[in-house]
Amino acid sequence: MSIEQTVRDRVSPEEWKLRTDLAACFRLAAHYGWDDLIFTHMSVRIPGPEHHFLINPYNLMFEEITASSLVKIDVEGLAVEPTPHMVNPAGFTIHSALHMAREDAQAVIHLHTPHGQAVSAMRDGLLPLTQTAMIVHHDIAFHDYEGIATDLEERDRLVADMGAKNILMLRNHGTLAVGSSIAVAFLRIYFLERACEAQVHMLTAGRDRLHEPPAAAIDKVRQQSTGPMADMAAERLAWPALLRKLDRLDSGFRC
Amino acid sequence: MLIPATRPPALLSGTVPLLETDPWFAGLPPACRGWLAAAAARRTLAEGERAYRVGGPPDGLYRVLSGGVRLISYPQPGRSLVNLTVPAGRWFGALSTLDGQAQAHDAVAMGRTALLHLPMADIAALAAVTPDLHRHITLLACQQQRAAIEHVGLLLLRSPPARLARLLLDMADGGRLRINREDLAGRIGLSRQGLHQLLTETEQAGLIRSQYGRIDILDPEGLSALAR
Repeated sequence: MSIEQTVRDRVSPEEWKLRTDLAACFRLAAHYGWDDLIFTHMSVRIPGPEHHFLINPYNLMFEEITASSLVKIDVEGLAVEPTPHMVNPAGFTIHSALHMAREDAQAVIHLHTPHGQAVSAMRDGLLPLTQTAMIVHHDIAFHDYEGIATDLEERDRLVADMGAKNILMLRNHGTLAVGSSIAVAFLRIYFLERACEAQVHMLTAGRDRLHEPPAAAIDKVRQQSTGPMADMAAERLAWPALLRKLDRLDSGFRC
Repeated sequence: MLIPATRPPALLSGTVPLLETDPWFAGLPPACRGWLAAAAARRTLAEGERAYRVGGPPDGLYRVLSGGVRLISYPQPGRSLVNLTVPAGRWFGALSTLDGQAQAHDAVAMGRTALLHLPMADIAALAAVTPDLHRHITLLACQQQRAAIEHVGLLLLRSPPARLARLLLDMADGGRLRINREDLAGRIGLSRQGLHQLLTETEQAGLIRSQYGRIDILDPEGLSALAR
Protein backbone atom coordinates (compact mmCIF):
# COMPACT_ATOMS: atom_id res chain seq x y z
CA MET A 1 0.00 0.00 0.00
CA SER A 2 1.36 3.42 -0.95
CA ILE A 3 1.87 6.21 1.59
CA GLU A 4 -0.82 8.19 -0.22
CA GLN A 5 -3.44 5.50 0.34
CA THR A 6 -2.34 5.12 3.93
CA VAL A 7 -2.71 8.81 4.74
CA ARG A 8 -5.90 9.28 2.76
CA ASP A 9 -7.51 6.25 4.39
CA ARG A 10 -6.48 7.35 7.84
CA VAL A 11 -7.65 10.96 7.84
CA SER A 12 -11.14 12.50 7.68
CA PRO A 13 -12.46 13.82 4.34
CA GLU A 14 -12.21 17.32 5.84
CA GLU A 15 -8.51 16.86 6.67
CA TRP A 16 -7.81 15.41 3.22
CA LYS A 17 -9.40 18.47 1.61
CA LEU A 18 -7.22 20.74 3.78
CA ARG A 19 -4.16 18.68 2.80
CA THR A 20 -5.03 19.00 -0.89
CA ASP A 21 -5.58 22.75 -0.61
CA LEU A 22 -2.38 23.33 1.37
CA ALA A 23 -0.30 21.19 -1.01
CA ALA A 24 -1.83 23.22 -3.87
CA CYS A 25 -0.81 26.40 -2.05
CA PHE A 26 2.84 25.27 -1.99
CA ARG A 27 2.75 24.30 -5.67
CA LEU A 28 1.27 27.72 -6.52
CA ALA A 29 3.94 29.50 -4.45
CA ALA A 30 6.62 27.58 -6.39
CA HIS A 31 4.84 28.37 -9.67
CA TYR A 32 4.80 32.10 -8.94
CA GLY A 33 8.45 32.03 -7.81
CA TRP A 34 7.66 32.83 -4.17
CA ASP A 35 9.62 29.93 -2.68
CA ASP A 36 12.93 30.38 -0.85
CA LEU A 37 14.55 26.95 -1.35
CA ILE A 38 12.97 24.83 1.41
CA PHE A 39 12.59 27.75 3.82
CA THR A 40 9.41 29.58 4.95
CA HIS A 41 6.24 27.84 6.00
CA MET A 42 2.53 27.71 5.29
CA SER A 43 0.20 26.08 7.79
CA VAL A 44 -3.47 25.32 8.35
CA ARG A 45 -5.45 24.39 11.46
CA ILE A 46 -7.24 21.02 11.47
CA PRO A 47 -10.73 21.53 12.97
CA GLY A 48 -11.27 19.76 16.28
CA PRO A 49 -10.35 19.96 19.96
CA GLU A 50 -6.76 18.68 19.49
CA HIS A 51 -5.20 21.93 18.18
CA HIS A 52 -3.38 20.10 15.41
CA PHE A 53 -1.98 21.76 12.32
CA LEU A 54 -0.63 20.80 8.91
CA ILE A 55 2.71 22.24 7.77
CA ASN A 56 5.32 21.56 5.11
CA PRO A 57 8.06 19.01 5.78
CA TYR A 58 11.33 20.90 6.22
CA ASN A 59 13.25 18.90 3.62
CA LEU A 60 11.03 19.27 0.54
CA MET A 61 11.03 21.89 -2.19
CA PHE A 62 7.62 23.51 -2.54
CA GLU A 63 7.03 21.90 -5.95
CA GLU A 64 7.63 18.48 -4.39
CA ILE A 65 4.99 18.81 -1.69
CA THR A 66 1.93 16.55 -1.84
CA ALA A 67 -1.22 16.21 0.26
CA SER A 68 0.20 13.07 1.93
CA SER A 69 3.64 14.49 2.70
CA LEU A 70 2.35 17.40 4.81
CA VAL A 71 3.21 16.92 8.47
CA LYS A 72 0.62 16.98 11.26
CA ILE A 73 1.98 18.87 14.27
CA ASP A 74 0.83 20.13 17.65
CA VAL A 75 0.93 23.73 18.85
CA GLU A 76 4.62 23.33 19.80
CA GLY A 77 5.45 22.30 16.25
CA LEU A 78 6.15 18.65 17.10
CA ALA A 79 4.94 15.86 14.81
CA VAL A 80 1.96 14.03 16.31
CA GLU A 81 2.14 11.08 13.90
CA PRO A 82 5.09 9.12 12.54
CA THR A 83 6.47 10.84 9.45
CA PRO A 84 9.42 10.03 7.21
CA HIS A 85 9.99 13.79 6.89
CA MET A 86 11.92 16.41 8.82
CA VAL A 87 9.92 18.92 10.88
CA ASN A 88 11.09 22.37 12.02
CA PRO A 89 9.44 23.36 15.32
CA ALA A 90 11.28 26.71 15.44
CA GLY A 91 9.84 27.62 12.03
CA PHE A 92 6.33 27.22 13.42
CA THR A 93 6.86 29.86 16.14
CA ILE A 94 5.31 32.73 14.20
CA HIS A 95 2.51 30.54 12.85
CA SER A 96 1.50 29.02 16.18
CA ALA A 97 1.33 32.47 17.79
CA LEU A 98 -1.22 33.62 15.21
CA HIS A 99 -3.17 30.35 15.01
CA MET A 100 -3.61 30.31 18.79
CA ALA A 101 -4.41 34.00 19.23
CA ARG A 102 -6.87 34.31 16.36
CA GLU A 103 -9.73 31.85 15.85
CA ASP A 104 -10.16 33.27 12.33
CA ALA A 105 -6.51 32.58 11.45
CA GLN A 106 -7.16 29.08 10.09
CA ALA A 107 -4.42 29.39 7.48
CA VAL A 108 -1.09 31.24 7.74
CA ILE A 109 1.19 31.89 4.74
CA HIS A 110 4.70 33.30 5.21
CA LEU A 111 7.08 34.23 2.37
CA HIS A 112 10.57 35.67 1.80
CA THR A 113 10.25 36.95 -1.77
CA PRO A 114 12.71 39.63 -2.93
CA HIS A 115 9.86 42.09 -3.57
CA GLY A 116 8.24 41.37 -0.21
CA GLN A 117 11.57 41.73 1.55
CA ALA A 118 12.26 44.97 -0.30
CA VAL A 119 8.97 46.58 0.73
CA SER A 120 9.34 45.22 4.29
CA ALA A 121 12.57 47.21 4.49
CA MET A 122 11.03 50.44 3.15
CA ARG A 123 10.25 52.99 5.83
CA ASP A 124 6.79 53.80 4.38
CA GLY A 125 5.87 50.17 3.84
CA LEU A 126 3.37 49.41 1.07
CA LEU A 127 2.21 52.56 -0.72
CA PRO A 128 -1.47 52.63 -1.82
CA LEU A 129 -0.53 53.78 -5.30
CA THR A 130 -2.00 50.93 -7.35
CA GLN A 131 -5.43 49.33 -7.24
CA THR A 132 -3.83 46.03 -6.17
CA ALA A 133 -2.00 47.77 -3.31
CA MET A 134 -5.24 49.50 -2.22
CA ILE A 135 -6.99 46.10 -1.95
CA VAL A 136 -4.59 45.04 0.83
CA HIS A 137 -3.11 48.31 2.11
CA HIS A 138 -5.75 48.88 4.82
CA ASP A 139 -5.23 45.36 6.18
CA ILE A 140 -1.46 45.51 6.87
CA ALA A 141 0.20 45.52 10.32
CA PHE A 142 3.96 45.79 10.99
CA HIS A 143 6.28 43.82 13.26
CA ASP A 144 9.86 44.92 13.88
CA TYR A 145 12.70 42.50 13.27
CA GLU A 146 14.16 40.71 16.31
CA GLY A 147 16.40 38.07 14.70
CA ILE A 148 15.43 34.68 13.30
CA ALA A 149 12.12 33.98 15.04
CA THR A 150 12.69 31.04 17.36
CA ASP A 151 12.14 32.97 20.60
CA LEU A 152 8.79 32.00 22.16
CA GLU A 153 8.56 35.41 23.88
CA GLU A 154 8.35 37.07 20.50
CA ARG A 155 4.95 35.40 20.04
CA ASP A 156 3.22 37.90 22.34
CA ARG A 157 4.70 40.92 20.58
CA LEU A 158 3.81 39.42 17.20
CA VAL A 159 0.19 38.90 18.19
CA ALA A 160 -0.06 42.40 19.68
CA ASP A 161 1.40 43.94 16.51
CA MET A 162 -0.94 41.94 14.27
CA GLY A 163 -4.06 43.06 16.16
CA ALA A 164 -7.16 42.47 14.03
CA LYS A 165 -5.36 42.89 10.68
CA ASN A 166 -4.89 39.99 8.27
CA ILE A 167 -1.52 40.85 6.74
CA LEU A 168 1.76 41.29 8.60
CA MET A 169 4.74 43.03 7.09
CA LEU A 170 7.64 41.44 8.94
CA ARG A 171 10.12 44.32 8.92
CA ASN A 172 13.44 43.54 7.16
CA HIS A 173 12.26 39.95 6.76
CA GLY A 174 9.23 39.18 4.56
CA THR A 175 5.46 38.96 4.28
CA LEU A 176 2.70 37.03 6.00
CA ALA A 177 -1.07 36.65 5.54
CA VAL A 178 -3.75 34.83 7.51
CA GLY A 179 -7.23 33.77 6.41
CA SER A 180 -10.35 31.87 7.39
CA SER A 181 -9.32 29.38 4.70
CA ILE A 182 -6.27 28.63 2.58
CA ALA A 183 -8.04 30.25 -0.40
CA VAL A 184 -8.62 33.50 1.49
CA ALA A 185 -5.05 33.67 2.86
CA PHE A 186 -3.64 32.84 -0.58
CA LEU A 187 -5.54 35.64 -2.30
CA ARG A 188 -4.34 38.13 0.33
CA ILE A 189 -0.69 37.19 -0.09
CA TYR A 190 -1.13 37.13 -3.89
CA PHE A 191 -2.39 40.73 -3.98
CA LEU A 192 0.29 41.77 -1.47
CA GLU A 193 3.14 40.20 -3.44
CA ARG A 194 1.89 41.66 -6.74
CA ALA A 195 1.59 45.08 -5.11
CA CYS A 196 5.11 44.83 -3.63
CA GLU A 197 6.50 43.90 -7.05
CA ALA A 198 4.74 46.86 -8.68
CA GLN A 199 6.04 49.16 -5.93
CA VAL A 200 9.65 48.08 -6.49
CA HIS A 201 9.20 48.81 -10.20
CA MET A 202 7.46 52.16 -9.73
CA LEU A 203 10.11 53.42 -7.31
CA THR A 204 12.66 53.36 -10.13
CA ALA A 205 10.91 56.60 -11.16
CA GLY A 206 11.78 58.12 -7.75
CA ARG A 207 9.46 58.55 -4.77
CA ASP A 208 8.74 62.22 -5.57
CA ARG A 209 7.76 61.48 -9.18
CA LEU A 210 4.83 59.14 -8.42
CA HIS A 211 1.19 60.15 -8.90
CA GLU A 212 -0.91 60.05 -5.71
CA PRO A 213 -4.51 58.79 -6.11
CA PRO A 214 -7.36 60.62 -4.31
CA ALA A 215 -7.82 59.57 -0.67
CA ALA A 216 -11.54 58.92 -1.39
CA ALA A 217 -10.61 56.34 -4.03
CA ILE A 218 -8.29 54.55 -1.62
CA ASP A 219 -11.09 54.40 0.94
CA LYS A 220 -13.58 53.20 -1.65
CA VAL A 221 -11.33 50.28 -2.59
CA ARG A 222 -10.98 49.42 1.11
CA GLN A 223 -14.77 49.10 1.38
CA GLN A 224 -15.01 47.18 -1.89
CA SER A 225 -12.39 44.64 -0.90
CA THR A 226 -13.61 43.72 2.58
CA GLY A 227 -16.52 41.61 3.81
CA PRO A 228 -17.92 38.15 3.10
CA MET A 229 -18.18 38.71 -0.65
CA ALA A 230 -14.41 39.15 -0.81
CA ASP A 231 -14.01 35.75 0.87
CA MET A 232 -16.51 34.24 -1.57
CA ALA A 233 -14.51 35.63 -4.50
CA ALA A 234 -11.44 33.86 -3.11
CA GLU A 235 -13.11 30.55 -2.27
CA ARG A 236 -15.66 30.17 -5.06
CA LEU A 237 -14.00 31.89 -8.01
CA ALA A 238 -10.24 32.30 -7.68
CA TRP A 239 -9.34 29.13 -5.76
CA PRO A 240 -11.21 26.61 -7.97
CA ALA A 241 -9.64 28.38 -11.00
CA LEU A 242 -6.18 28.05 -9.42
CA LEU A 243 -6.77 24.34 -8.73
CA ARG A 244 -7.74 23.84 -12.38
CA LYS A 245 -4.55 25.61 -13.41
CA LEU A 246 -2.51 23.32 -11.16
CA ASP A 247 -4.27 20.25 -12.52
CA ARG A 248 -3.22 21.31 -16.02
CA LEU A 249 0.38 21.86 -14.84
CA ASP A 250 0.81 18.78 -12.62
CA SER A 251 -1.92 17.24 -10.50
CA GLY A 252 0.70 15.45 -8.38
CA PHE A 253 -0.09 17.69 -5.40
CA ARG A 254 -3.27 15.64 -4.95
CA CYS A 255 -1.31 12.49 -4.06
CA MET B 1 4.65 22.70 -19.63
CA LEU B 2 1.12 24.02 -19.31
CA ILE B 3 -1.55 21.88 -20.96
CA PRO B 4 -3.97 24.35 -22.61
CA ALA B 5 -7.57 24.24 -21.42
CA THR B 6 -9.42 23.39 -24.62
CA ARG B 7 -12.76 22.56 -23.01
CA PRO B 8 -14.83 24.40 -20.42
CA PRO B 9 -13.77 23.22 -16.96
CA ALA B 10 -15.80 20.27 -15.71
CA LEU B 11 -16.77 22.22 -12.61
CA LEU B 12 -18.56 24.92 -14.57
CA SER B 13 -20.12 22.72 -17.22
CA GLY B 14 -21.33 20.49 -14.35
CA THR B 15 -23.46 22.67 -12.11
CA VAL B 16 -24.60 25.58 -14.27
CA PRO B 17 -26.91 23.58 -16.61
CA LEU B 18 -28.47 21.90 -13.59
CA LEU B 19 -29.46 25.32 -12.24
CA GLU B 20 -30.31 27.10 -15.50
CA THR B 21 -33.31 24.84 -16.08
CA ASP B 22 -34.73 25.58 -12.62
CA PRO B 23 -37.51 28.22 -12.65
CA TRP B 24 -36.73 29.45 -9.13
CA PHE B 25 -33.05 29.87 -9.93
CA ALA B 26 -33.85 31.60 -13.23
CA GLY B 27 -35.95 34.16 -11.32
CA LEU B 28 -33.14 35.17 -8.94
CA PRO B 29 -31.47 38.58 -9.22
CA PRO B 30 -28.78 38.24 -11.92
CA ALA B 31 -26.09 39.26 -9.41
CA CYS B 32 -26.92 36.19 -7.30
CA ARG B 33 -27.09 33.57 -10.03
CA GLY B 34 -23.41 33.48 -10.96
CA TRP B 35 -22.28 33.41 -7.35
CA LEU B 36 -24.63 30.61 -6.37
CA ALA B 37 -23.71 28.58 -9.44
CA ALA B 38 -20.05 28.93 -8.42
CA ALA B 39 -20.87 27.87 -4.86
CA ALA B 40 -23.15 24.96 -5.81
CA ALA B 41 -21.84 21.46 -5.13
CA ARG B 42 -23.26 18.06 -6.07
CA ARG B 43 -23.90 15.50 -3.36
CA THR B 44 -24.90 11.90 -3.85
CA LEU B 45 -26.73 10.04 -1.08
CA ALA B 46 -27.31 6.31 -0.74
CA GLU B 47 -30.76 4.95 0.21
CA GLY B 48 -31.56 6.07 3.77
CA GLU B 49 -28.61 8.47 4.00
CA ARG B 50 -29.38 11.91 5.42
CA ALA B 51 -28.59 15.29 3.84
CA TYR B 52 -29.00 16.73 7.36
CA ARG B 53 -30.45 15.63 10.69
CA VAL B 54 -33.21 16.98 12.90
CA GLY B 55 -31.67 19.43 15.39
CA GLY B 56 -28.66 20.09 13.14
CA PRO B 57 -27.51 23.59 12.17
CA PRO B 58 -28.93 25.48 9.16
CA ASP B 59 -27.29 24.00 6.10
CA GLY B 60 -28.43 26.07 3.12
CA LEU B 61 -30.64 24.92 0.25
CA TYR B 62 -30.85 21.63 -1.60
CA ARG B 63 -32.36 20.85 -4.98
CA VAL B 64 -33.22 17.23 -5.74
CA LEU B 65 -31.64 16.32 -9.10
CA SER B 66 -32.70 12.67 -9.17
CA GLY B 67 -34.26 10.28 -6.68
CA GLY B 68 -36.18 11.91 -3.84
CA VAL B 69 -35.99 13.00 -0.22
CA ARG B 70 -38.39 12.45 2.68
CA LEU B 71 -38.57 15.13 5.36
CA ILE B 72 -39.21 13.21 8.57
CA SER B 73 -40.06 14.67 11.97
CA TYR B 74 -40.39 12.92 15.35
CA PRO B 75 -43.48 14.23 17.15
CA GLN B 76 -43.05 11.67 19.96
CA PRO B 77 -40.20 9.39 20.99
CA GLY B 78 -40.38 6.29 18.80
CA ARG B 79 -42.89 7.84 16.38
CA SER B 80 -41.82 9.31 13.07
CA LEU B 81 -43.93 11.19 10.57
CA VAL B 82 -43.14 11.95 6.94
CA ASN B 83 -44.05 15.63 6.62
CA LEU B 84 -43.31 15.82 2.94
CA THR B 85 -41.77 13.90 0.07
CA VAL B 86 -39.54 16.11 -2.11
CA PRO B 87 -39.36 14.84 -5.71
CA ALA B 88 -36.72 15.62 -8.35
CA GLY B 89 -36.77 19.28 -9.39
CA ARG B 90 -37.92 20.59 -6.00
CA TRP B 91 -35.94 22.40 -3.28
CA PHE B 92 -35.76 21.85 0.48
CA GLY B 93 -33.88 23.36 3.43
CA ALA B 94 -35.43 26.83 3.17
CA LEU B 95 -36.92 26.88 6.68
CA SER B 96 -33.65 26.75 8.66
CA THR B 97 -31.89 28.85 6.04
CA LEU B 98 -34.39 31.65 6.68
CA ASP B 99 -34.88 31.54 10.45
CA GLY B 100 -31.40 30.31 11.42
CA GLN B 101 -32.96 27.76 13.80
CA ALA B 102 -32.18 24.03 14.08
CA GLN B 103 -33.43 21.66 11.37
CA ALA B 104 -37.03 20.63 12.01
CA HIS B 105 -36.65 17.23 10.34
CA ASP B 106 -34.32 14.60 8.96
CA ALA B 107 -33.84 14.82 5.19
CA VAL B 108 -33.61 11.17 4.15
CA ALA B 109 -32.77 9.89 0.66
CA MET B 110 -35.34 7.64 -1.06
CA GLY B 111 -33.08 5.33 -3.05
CA ARG B 112 -29.87 6.65 -4.57
CA THR B 113 -30.39 10.40 -4.72
CA ALA B 114 -28.41 13.21 -6.34
CA LEU B 115 -28.63 16.69 -4.80
CA LEU B 116 -27.33 20.13 -5.63
CA HIS B 117 -26.32 21.99 -2.47
CA LEU B 118 -26.08 25.77 -2.02
CA PRO B 119 -24.08 26.16 1.22
CA MET B 120 -25.35 28.34 4.06
CA ALA B 121 -22.23 30.53 4.27
CA ASP B 122 -22.51 31.55 0.63
CA ILE B 123 -26.23 32.33 0.93
CA ALA B 124 -25.57 34.42 4.06
CA ALA B 125 -22.75 36.36 2.37
CA LEU B 126 -24.86 37.03 -0.72
CA ALA B 127 -27.96 37.99 1.24
CA ALA B 128 -25.90 40.58 3.16
CA VAL B 129 -25.30 42.50 -0.09
CA THR B 130 -28.47 41.40 -1.97
CA PRO B 131 -31.26 41.36 0.65
CA ASP B 132 -33.81 40.48 -2.05
CA LEU B 133 -32.33 36.95 -2.02
CA HIS B 134 -34.24 36.33 1.22
CA ARG B 135 -37.56 37.12 -0.49
CA HIS B 136 -36.74 34.53 -3.14
CA ILE B 137 -35.88 31.91 -0.51
CA THR B 138 -39.19 32.76 1.18
CA LEU B 139 -40.92 31.64 -2.02
CA LEU B 140 -39.26 28.23 -1.65
CA ALA B 141 -40.40 28.03 1.98
CA CYS B 142 -43.96 28.88 0.86
CA GLN B 143 -43.82 26.24 -1.86
CA GLN B 144 -42.71 23.68 0.71
CA GLN B 145 -45.38 24.78 3.18
CA ARG B 146 -48.15 24.51 0.58
CA ALA B 147 -46.99 21.04 -0.42
CA ALA B 148 -46.87 20.01 3.25
CA ILE B 149 -50.41 21.32 3.85
CA GLU B 150 -51.67 19.22 0.96
CA HIS B 151 -49.72 16.16 2.11
CA VAL B 152 -50.77 16.40 5.77
CA GLY B 153 -54.35 17.33 4.79
CA LEU B 154 -54.74 14.18 2.71
CA LEU B 155 -53.17 12.22 5.53
CA LEU B 156 -55.74 13.51 8.04
CA LEU B 157 -58.80 13.31 5.76
CA ARG B 158 -58.28 9.81 4.48
CA SER B 159 -58.87 6.81 6.67
CA PRO B 160 -55.78 4.73 7.49
CA PRO B 161 -56.84 1.93 5.05
CA ALA B 162 -57.30 4.52 2.27
CA ARG B 163 -53.87 6.06 3.04
CA LEU B 164 -52.23 2.65 2.91
CA ALA B 165 -53.99 1.73 -0.34
CA ARG B 166 -53.06 5.04 -2.02
CA LEU B 167 -49.41 4.71 -0.95
CA LEU B 168 -49.14 1.11 -2.13
CA LEU B 169 -50.64 1.96 -5.53
CA ASP B 170 -48.36 5.01 -5.92
CA MET B 171 -45.20 3.20 -4.96
CA ALA B 172 -45.67 -0.29 -6.41
CA ASP B 173 -43.47 -1.27 -9.31
CA GLY B 174 -44.84 -4.26 -11.22
CA GLY B 175 -47.32 -5.06 -8.46
CA ARG B 176 -44.63 -5.17 -5.80
CA LEU B 177 -42.88 -2.73 -3.52
CA ARG B 178 -39.97 -2.99 -1.12
CA ILE B 179 -40.27 -0.88 2.01
CA ASN B 180 -39.49 -1.38 5.66
CA ARG B 181 -42.28 -1.30 8.24
CA GLU B 182 -40.98 1.71 10.15
CA ASP B 183 -40.77 3.76 6.99
CA LEU B 184 -44.26 2.71 5.94
CA ALA B 185 -45.69 3.52 9.38
CA GLY B 186 -44.10 7.01 9.28
CA ARG B 187 -45.48 7.70 5.83
CA ILE B 188 -49.10 6.94 6.70
CA GLY B 189 -48.93 8.30 10.23
CA LEU B 190 -49.48 5.08 12.20
CA SER B 191 -47.59 3.41 15.01
CA ARG B 192 -45.81 0.16 14.08
CA GLN B 193 -48.45 -1.84 15.96
CA GLY B 194 -51.23 0.05 14.16
CA LEU B 195 -49.58 -0.65 10.83
CA HIS B 196 -49.19 -4.34 11.64
CA GLN B 197 -52.91 -4.58 12.43
CA LEU B 198 -53.86 -2.77 9.20
CA LEU B 199 -51.57 -4.91 7.02
CA THR B 200 -53.01 -8.07 8.58
CA GLU B 201 -56.57 -6.92 7.85
CA THR B 202 -55.74 -5.91 4.29
CA GLU B 203 -54.03 -9.24 3.73
CA GLN B 204 -57.03 -11.12 5.16
CA ALA B 205 -59.26 -9.19 2.72
CA GLY B 206 -57.15 -10.72 -0.08
CA LEU B 207 -55.84 -7.39 -1.39
CA ILE B 208 -52.14 -7.83 -0.64
CA ARG B 209 -49.54 -10.29 0.56
CA SER B 210 -47.19 -8.83 3.17
CA GLN B 211 -43.73 -10.26 3.83
CA TYR B 212 -40.63 -8.96 5.52
CA GLY B 213 -39.45 -5.84 3.64
CA ARG B 214 -41.82 -6.52 0.74
CA ILE B 215 -45.50 -6.15 -0.17
CA ASP B 216 -47.18 -7.74 -3.21
CA ILE B 217 -50.42 -6.31 -4.58
CA LEU B 218 -52.87 -9.15 -5.30
CA ASP B 219 -55.99 -7.14 -6.16
CA PRO B 220 -55.23 -3.71 -7.66
CA GLU B 221 -58.90 -2.92 -8.35
CA GLY B 222 -59.92 -3.72 -4.81
CA LEU B 223 -57.09 -1.56 -3.55
CA SER B 224 -58.15 1.32 -5.84
CA ALA B 225 -61.68 1.12 -4.43
CA LEU B 226 -60.23 1.27 -0.91
CA ALA B 227 -58.09 4.29 -1.80
CA ARG B 228 -61.08 6.42 -2.84
